[in-house]
Amino acid sequence: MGAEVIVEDKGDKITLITLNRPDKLNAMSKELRETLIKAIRDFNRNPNKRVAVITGAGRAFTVGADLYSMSDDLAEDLRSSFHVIIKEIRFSPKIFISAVKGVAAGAGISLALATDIRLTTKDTRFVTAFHNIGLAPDSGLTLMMLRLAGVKAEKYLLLGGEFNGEEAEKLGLFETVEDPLKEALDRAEKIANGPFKSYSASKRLINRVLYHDLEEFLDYEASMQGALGKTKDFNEGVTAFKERRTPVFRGE
Amino acid sequence: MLPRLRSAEPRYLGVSKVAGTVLYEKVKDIGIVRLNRPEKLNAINMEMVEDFVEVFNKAEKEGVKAVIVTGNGRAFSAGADVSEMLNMSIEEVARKGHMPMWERLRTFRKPVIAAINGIAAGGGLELAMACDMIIAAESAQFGQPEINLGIIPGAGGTQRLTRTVGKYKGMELVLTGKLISAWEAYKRGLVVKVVPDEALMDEAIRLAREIASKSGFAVELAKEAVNRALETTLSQGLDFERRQFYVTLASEDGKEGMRAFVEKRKPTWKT
Repeated sequence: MGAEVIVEDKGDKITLITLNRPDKLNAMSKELRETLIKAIRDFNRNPNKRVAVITGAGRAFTVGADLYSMSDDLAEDLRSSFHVIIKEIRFSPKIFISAVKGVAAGAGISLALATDIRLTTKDTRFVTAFHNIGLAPDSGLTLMMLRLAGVKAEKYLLLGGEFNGEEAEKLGLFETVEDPLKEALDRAEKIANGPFKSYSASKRLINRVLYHDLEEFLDYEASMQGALGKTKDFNEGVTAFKERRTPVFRGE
Repeated sequence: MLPRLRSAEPRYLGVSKVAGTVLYEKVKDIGIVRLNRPEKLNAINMEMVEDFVEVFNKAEKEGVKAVIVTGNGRAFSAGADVSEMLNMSIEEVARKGHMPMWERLRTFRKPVIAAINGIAAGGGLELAMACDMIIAAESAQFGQPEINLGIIPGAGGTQRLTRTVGKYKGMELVLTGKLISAWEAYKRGLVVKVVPDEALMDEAIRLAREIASKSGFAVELAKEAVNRALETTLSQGLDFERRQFYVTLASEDGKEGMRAFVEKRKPTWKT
């Protein structure tokens, strides 16, 4: 089995992190999450590195959590891996760029939104898939999406839904470009060779305005999802997903 | 311009290095004390306790007006040196242990600012709390993880922490051993200020200088009175405060300060 996350140096200052389970649309298994945490931490700790680009191999950025690789306690999954990833990116003094193509779903959207510069294509599909399995948005999606896009994003968070790259751009969540990865690496190059301290300081100022309460929000969100993970609807949602049928929810 | 003092690369300005595990320098009338076992995340061992006492004695002798305590390297202090503690007899720990360090801080009359540059856990957080004020770099973390080793805090981790963050948060921290972020510590009143990592020493020095610009004698009496607040009933504390107040009224600096205020000029402090 190949590496689920590929880490490449693009020169001294830039790291390219590629989620690499293309046959599973880069669904984030426990192993992938742990490898990703390590990759981001290594990058954050390396004093020579300034910019990280995160992308997905194949047809997707990532479809979020791998439903075949979730523990019994969703709160624990969130606190020990998904939230760690979001915080390592968001509270890093370094710059992260996401290059999103094909599809991004669930916590995959959160992963992209946690980055500082978010690039996608017009036809990329964004699916807030949580509600289809009886869950609420997680990995900080509610906070990040509402902060970045305002109430226009509310409907996707409340009931779930899908939007494309063009709409994502209108919402202020992403910029659309022809080739997100190429553009991401170009921008990374400029940032890495520019007045980097000023970029890093600016990111931290932005954090104080947009994300000063992200940590406590994530903690609250984890307990919420933990409770939803014990409902009959969640069980039905996951079972239906695995049996490739439409779930029958009962609101229980 | 403030001297640029980064915790990772101490620069000695008119410096006297006293001892290996604790570095000391005097910048004007401010003493800067750096825990210096960076490869051990500044774990506190017996040698460091002795060096710490020596450094504070020196600072006292040199007449500094405030002291900043920080860590060299990426940690403030990860706590007591566990391997050393494991090899000490209980008699040795109980008779001496790290007590000289706590006693030295307790009797030190000038204000001590803890500038937390990284993790402050266990004895590291206890050391920070034994200081008079804590300011933190934004990447600092705080906690009492002793419970994970089957032991409990032994130098204020259940007492000073609880008096600061309250019983329930104190209980959570002590019983789970989890670490909290600098911003969370700020919200809980444990930390007076959170600053960008690279601004930590500049801010600590600004704060120390601001305090150093006051009457030294009044600062000492004020420190004593604030500390007393946590050790007495309100009426005893108020009595103590009032007597300290009378002393400052009669002191040279007190008279000068009040006179300057009335005469609308800047006071010149004697102490």
